[in-house]
Amino acid sequence: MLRGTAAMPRLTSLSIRLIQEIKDLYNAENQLVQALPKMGDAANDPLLREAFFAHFEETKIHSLQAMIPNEFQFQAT
Amino acid sequence: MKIKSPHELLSDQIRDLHNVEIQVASTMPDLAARAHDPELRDFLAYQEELALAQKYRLRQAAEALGSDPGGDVCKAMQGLIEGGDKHVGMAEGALVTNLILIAHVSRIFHYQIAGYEFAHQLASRLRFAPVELLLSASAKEERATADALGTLSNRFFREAQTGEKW
Repeated sequence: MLRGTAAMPRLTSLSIRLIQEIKDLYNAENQLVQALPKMGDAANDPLLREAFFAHFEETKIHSLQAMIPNEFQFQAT
Repeated sequence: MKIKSPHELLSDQIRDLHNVEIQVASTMPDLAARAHDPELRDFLAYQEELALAQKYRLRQAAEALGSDPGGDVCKAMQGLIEGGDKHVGMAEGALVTNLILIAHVSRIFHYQIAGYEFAHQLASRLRFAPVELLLSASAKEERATADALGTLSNRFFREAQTGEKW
């Protein structure tokens, strides 16, 4: 799910593993943010449509970003 | 292929789950071989057996609906397995490897839980009682499996806390 991982060092500690997990979630949220408007457009019910456009995922992305030290910041997705 | 009715949607969901079980049965022995703990290894190895039993149940459900469970490839599970395998390949050391395996299979189990619970609800609303029962059995098994993994993972988290610097 992460891009450019070929150049990443092998994992040697749990803290790096934790950062990898958060990066994985971060990328998952980004993919979801891209997919949700398409699902919203396809929805045939106003409430369901509204749920897809609720922007909850953007909030999670900002929270995930705040968890990671600057030197490990995320690559663009 | 167009899906035009809730009945066809249920058959489609069952086809998807059927392929998921094929993929899960195929990947679990590889993951078990990577485990550095006998309990985790046995747990992962048992998942192949469970997946094959659930695949058989899905065949029965499809037949009850008059559909064929084959012919679908679940790209979502392909992606989950591919992504997880890449992370497992990055692991170094017994504890990190065990934790990555847990993170990986936990994602797989939760995909299956979502699939079975949706299909079960749909079968229930459509009043396909035999199909509902088959899906309910697998949904419960998947939940129990995810819970068991949670219990198992607690031991590795304790080891992480005490044995290695974060």
